[in-house]
Amino acid sequence: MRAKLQVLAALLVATVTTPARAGVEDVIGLGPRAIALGGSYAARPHDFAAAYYNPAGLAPPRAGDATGLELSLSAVYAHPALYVTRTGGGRIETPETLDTAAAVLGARFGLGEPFGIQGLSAGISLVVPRHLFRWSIVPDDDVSWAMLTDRTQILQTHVGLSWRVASWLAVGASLRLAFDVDARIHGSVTSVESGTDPETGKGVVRAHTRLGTDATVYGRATPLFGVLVTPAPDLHVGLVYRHPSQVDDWGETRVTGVPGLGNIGYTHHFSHYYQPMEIVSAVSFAPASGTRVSLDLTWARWSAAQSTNRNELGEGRWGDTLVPAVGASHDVSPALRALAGYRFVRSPLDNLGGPTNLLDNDRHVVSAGAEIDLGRLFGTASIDARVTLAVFEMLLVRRTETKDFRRFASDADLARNPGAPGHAHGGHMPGGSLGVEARW
Amino acid sequence: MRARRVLATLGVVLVATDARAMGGAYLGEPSRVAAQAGAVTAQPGDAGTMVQNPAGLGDVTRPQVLFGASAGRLTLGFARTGETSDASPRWLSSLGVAIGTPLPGPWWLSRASIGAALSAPAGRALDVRVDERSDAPVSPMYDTRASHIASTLGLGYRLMDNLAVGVGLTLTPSFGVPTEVTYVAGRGKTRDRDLVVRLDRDLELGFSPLVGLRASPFPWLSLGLAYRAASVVHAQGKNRTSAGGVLADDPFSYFQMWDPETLSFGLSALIGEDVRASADLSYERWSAFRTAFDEAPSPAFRSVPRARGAVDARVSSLVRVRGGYAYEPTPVPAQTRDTTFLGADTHVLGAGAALDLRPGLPLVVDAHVRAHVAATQRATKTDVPDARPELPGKQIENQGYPGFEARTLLLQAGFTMTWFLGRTAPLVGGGAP
Repeated sequence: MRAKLQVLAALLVATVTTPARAGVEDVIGLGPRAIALGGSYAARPHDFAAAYYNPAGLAPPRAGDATGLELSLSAVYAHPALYVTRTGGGRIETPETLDTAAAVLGARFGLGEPFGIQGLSAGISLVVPRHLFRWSIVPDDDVSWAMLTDRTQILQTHVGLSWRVASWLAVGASLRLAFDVDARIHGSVTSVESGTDPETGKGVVRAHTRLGTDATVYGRATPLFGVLVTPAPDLHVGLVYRHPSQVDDWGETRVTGVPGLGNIGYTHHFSHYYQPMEIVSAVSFAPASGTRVSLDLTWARWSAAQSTNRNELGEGRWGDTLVPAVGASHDVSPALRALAGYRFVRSPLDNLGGPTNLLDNDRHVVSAGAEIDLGRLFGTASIDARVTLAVFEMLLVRRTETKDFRRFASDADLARNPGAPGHAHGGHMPGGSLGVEARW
Repeated sequence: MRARRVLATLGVVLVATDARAMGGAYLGEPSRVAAQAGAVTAQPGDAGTMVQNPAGLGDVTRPQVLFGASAGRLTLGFARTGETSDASPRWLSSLGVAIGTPLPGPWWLSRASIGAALSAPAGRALDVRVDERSDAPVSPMYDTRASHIASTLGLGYRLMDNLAVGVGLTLTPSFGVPTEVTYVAGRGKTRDRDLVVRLDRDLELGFSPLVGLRASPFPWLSLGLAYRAASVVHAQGKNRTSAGGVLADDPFSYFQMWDPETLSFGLSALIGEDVRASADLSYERWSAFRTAFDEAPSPAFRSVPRARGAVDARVSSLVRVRGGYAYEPTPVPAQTRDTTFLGADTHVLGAGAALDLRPGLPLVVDAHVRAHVAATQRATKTDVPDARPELPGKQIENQGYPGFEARTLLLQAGFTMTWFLGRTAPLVGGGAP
C-alpha cells in the first residue's frame, strides 16, 4: 500500500503544473482509431493515444501482463472549406485556413518490467505537421477563424506514465509538450531615403536597416491526469483532467538611429492557441459479443479563455461548453472491425455583435472507419499488427453576426470594423487518417 | 524496496535536466558514443546511434527503448589584445529518447529494424542568435549549435549475417518570423492600442539524409561507412515597422549550419574476448559554411578531417569501461579581416562505463564524462576595412581589433539507460560491443 501511495505521489510530482496548448488531437483526434470513434476514447484503453485521451489507459489490462512494445505510425489529412460572407453580399477575406497534413507517431511500452514491477507502462505520441509550428497573429478585429486557422499546424508531444494499482483501477499522468517563443529583433539604420510605401502608396521616409535577432523557442509542458476504473471485464469508466494551456509569444523590436525619431520599436506579448481546462467523464461497455460502445462527455472551461490579443477589444465572448461524443465498434469478422463515431462541439464564442471578428461555429463531426488485423488476415501468428482507416466530416453550422452599434465607441469605429455591418460564416472540413500499429 | 525501485525508475525517467541526446543534435550522443569520442561508425549499433551509422540499426534484434540525459559546462573565453578575458560559462544540457525494434513478420521483413530518436534541450527547443554586427565574436561550433531540438528516423536492414545497410533522416527546425507593425494614431483608446501587429511564426522542418553500411568480413573485424548530409537551416522573414511617416521594411535571411556534410569510415576489432578497439576517420565539409546573414565568410572556412580512436573493455560480467580520443582541427581560418569567428584545434577526451544487468534484468546503464579542450586561438586583425572612409585616417570599429585570444573548454557528463522490452533480454546491441 505504501508503495502504491509513493507511486501516486511520484506521478503527481512528476507532472507539476506547467502550461502548453492545442493541436491536432483537440480539433481532429489522435490516431485513426480515435478519429473513427468520434474522439470517444477516454474509456477505451490500451494504446498510445491514451497519453492524450486518458493517461491511465496506458497501463496493461492486468498487472501481470507484459506491455512489451507497441508502435504506431499514421498520417492524418484534413481540408477545411470555409466561407465568410458580408451582410448584403460579398466575400470577406480571412487569413489562410491551412490544410492539416501530419504524421503521427505513437509508442507504448512497459517500464517496470526490468525492475520486476508489473503494471507500470509509458506512452509517447508525436504529431509532426509539415511545419513544427506555424501560427499567425492578427488583431482581434481582423476577420479570422479562431479555432481552425492554424491550431493543427503545430508539433505536439504527449509523454505519459500509467500504473495499474489494482485489477480494477489504473491511474496515469501525462505531459503535453509544446513551445513558447521569445523573439527579439534589433537593428540599426544603414541608410535613409525618401520614397513610397509599396503597400499604401503614401510618401514616407524609408529607413534601410541591418537586422539581427535573438529568437528562442522554449519548450512548455502541461499536465493531464486520468483514472480508469474497470468494475467488470466489459465495463470501463474513465475520468480525465486536462490542465489549461496556451502559447506565450513575446519579445521586442527596436531599430536605432532613425533620423528625426531616434529609436522606433515596440514590445509585444500575445497569447495563442488557448486550450481550456477540461474534465472528461467516459464509459465504455460491451452490449454484445464483439461490440463495444463508448460515451464521453467533456466539460471545457472556455469562460477563462483569452484571445490572441488578450481580449483587448473586450471580454465576455467566451463561454464554457459541453462536448458529447459517442463511438461504437463491431467485429464484422475475426480480421475486420468496423468503427463509427459522432461528436457535437459547441462553439465557445458567443455572438455579441461587438468589435471582435473571431469566427467559430458549432460543429457536428461524423466519422467512420475500419480496422484490419493483419495476422488474422494472413493467418500467421508472427504478425501482430493492424491497419486502421478513418474518415470524418466536420460540418460547421452556419452562423450569422450583426454588429451592434451600442458596442462601438463611435459610428466611425463601427464603419471601420472589418466585419461590419455583419457577416455569415460556415463550411465543412472533410478528412481522414490511415495508420498501422504493431506489437512485440 | 519495491517502492524504492519504482521511485528510482520514475526519477530516472522524469528528472528534468537539460541536455541534448541521440536525435542528431550536436553534443547529444548517447553515453556509449560520447565516452568513445564518437569512434563508433563500425561498432554494433542501437537506436541511439543512427546518426553515427544508421546501418547499426541492423543490430537491433529485439525492441529497445533508450533514455538519455547529459549536462555540460561550456566556457568560452574571449579577450581583445591587451584586455582581460571575458569568459562566459554556461550550461548545455538536454534529454533524449530513442526507440528501436525489428519489424514483425516473415524472415525477410524481420531482417529490417526501424528506429526513432528525439533529443531536446530541456529549456530551449531552438535558439537563433544573429548579431546585427558582422564583426561580433561568434563561435560557430558552440554558440547555438547545441541549442535546438532534433529528431532522427532510421531504417536498418541485415542483407546478410555480416552485412547491414541503413538509411535515415535527421529533422531539424528553421524559424521564420515575418512581422508587420503599424502605428495607427487614434485607432485605440490608448497609445499602446494604436499599434497594429501582424505576425507569422513559422518553424519549418529541415531534412538531412543519412546512409550507412556495416560489414564484418571476419568475426573479429567490423568496417563501417556512413554519410550524413549537412544539417542547415535558413530563417527568413520580413520586419516591417511603420510609424510617424518612417518606414523600415527590410527583409532578413539568416543561415545556421548545425552540422556539415560528413563522410566517416570506421574500423573496429575485437582483441581477445573482452576488448574492442575502434578507429574512425571523418571528413567534414565546413567549406560550405556561411555567415549568419547567409553570406560567404571572408576568408572561407576550410573542410577538415577528424580522427577518433576508442577502446572498450569488459572488466567483469557486469561492468565495461571505455575511453576515447578525437582530434578535431578547426575549420575556422585565421581571423585577420572583418569577421571574428572563434575556433581552434580541439582535443576531445572521453571516458565511461557500462553496467550491463542482463540477463537478470533487461537493462544496460551507460555513463560518460567528456571534455573538449581547445587550443588558444590567437588572431591579429591586419586587414580590417575603414569604417568611415570619408574621414581622414583609418577608422576602425571592429570588435576583434587589434587582435584577440580565445579559448574554449567543455566539460560534460551524462548517462543513457537502455531497456530491452519483453521478458528475455537480448544479448546484442545496447552497451555491449
